[in-house]
Amino acid sequence: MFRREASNQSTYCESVALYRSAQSLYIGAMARKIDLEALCNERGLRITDQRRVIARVLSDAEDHPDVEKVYARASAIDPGISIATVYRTVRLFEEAGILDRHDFGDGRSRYEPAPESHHDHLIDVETGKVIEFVDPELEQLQKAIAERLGFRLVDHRMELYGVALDRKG
Amino acid sequence: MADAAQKRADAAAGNPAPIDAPGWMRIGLRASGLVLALLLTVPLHYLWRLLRIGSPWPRIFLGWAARLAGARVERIGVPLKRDVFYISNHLSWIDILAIAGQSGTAFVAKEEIRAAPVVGWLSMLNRTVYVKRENRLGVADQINQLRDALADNWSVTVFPEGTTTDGHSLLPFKTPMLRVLEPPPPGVMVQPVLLDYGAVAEEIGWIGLESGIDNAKRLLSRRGSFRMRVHFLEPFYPHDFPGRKTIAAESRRRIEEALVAALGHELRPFAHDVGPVRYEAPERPAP
Repeated sequence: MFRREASNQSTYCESVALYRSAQSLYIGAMARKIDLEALCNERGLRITDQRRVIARVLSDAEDHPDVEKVYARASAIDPGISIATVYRTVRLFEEAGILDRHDFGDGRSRYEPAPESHHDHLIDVETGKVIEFVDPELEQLQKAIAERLGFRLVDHRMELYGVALDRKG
Repeated sequence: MADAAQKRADAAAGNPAPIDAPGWMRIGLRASGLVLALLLTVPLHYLWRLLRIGSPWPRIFLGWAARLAGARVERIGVPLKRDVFYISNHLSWIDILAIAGQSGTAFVAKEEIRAAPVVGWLSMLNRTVYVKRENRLGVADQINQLRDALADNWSVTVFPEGTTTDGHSLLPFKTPMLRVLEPPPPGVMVQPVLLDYGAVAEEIGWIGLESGIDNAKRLLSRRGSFRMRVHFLEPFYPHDFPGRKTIAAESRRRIEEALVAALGHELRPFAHDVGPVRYEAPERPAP
């Protein structure tokens, strides 16, 4: 059920940043706007016109789009772009480490520019909406768990799947 | 309702229900539509070939044929079109009309199709790659043909289940044809495709002992149209899943996931090759 809806409905990210100082939980769009085009130049990736369009679409996206969404937006700017080009470019960016791929369980890979600062994701399983958050307590706990198991934590992925409490119907 | 289910079961058991007068009329109308479509598209196809430009006519014809057969095809997802190997589940000959109508792909078909009247010729026009099933030694040859087809920037579709189902189950994927992806030709992606006939899947599926002609008659005499969805699922690069078995498993996983989501329940084991009706023969009165 959820897969159907998640793929049909438009997904978006909270664009309003909220501070809940009591729990020091930071939700919403991270202060970002990562310029993928500049990063391409930095990493010596050859940037063609079509890649530039795709890089811009990805940089501007705030909703962790899948390839089909990137394709729809990119071909609105440059109708000559094919979906195969989008797949290739997204892969190139991913391999260069400037784009992160996520699997949020709706059968489609979703992308966001690799963030400079770490954050976790909460996915609304009914709408596919993705909320970014950072919780220092959780970060600390994860580190502590790794240490208890005899490891130094170098990275982690945290995805929470939920249903909105105030959902209607 | 029970009557329809019984008729369906009889058809699968090789005892087609007689077709009534309106049924014959629908067959007549649809067949004339197909002939008209052919008369229009085939000359244009040859003209395009003569001018050496890529012909869109097979795709157009197959799209029309799907519509004439009653399918109202809805496309979900974006097909890659070029440099792509589609892997799809399989219910009926309508699958071919629907997928080709949406993407212009060629198909891998068994050798017998080539010899079939009309259908054989049509399949040739759509650049079908024929394979002999028993001919294990010829596999290398067939793989080369397939590789050439992909290299010419065509897209090719295989139905790795090797037979048709009722749309509520997914058979094991056979992998010999996927050898064309060992190693993957450069730039080629694999795009799994799910054919979702919704509520009419069990009726459309060509299963059991029904003959091809009986099946065509049954579907073409069917009243009205039905909705079907062709889901072009997320493609992947074959070198991320090296080896034909791994590619088959990954495609199957994606198709199964989408099929379960579309059906809203888990898949059933496929048991229609031996229809249960065969054991329920009408009791004969004792002599």
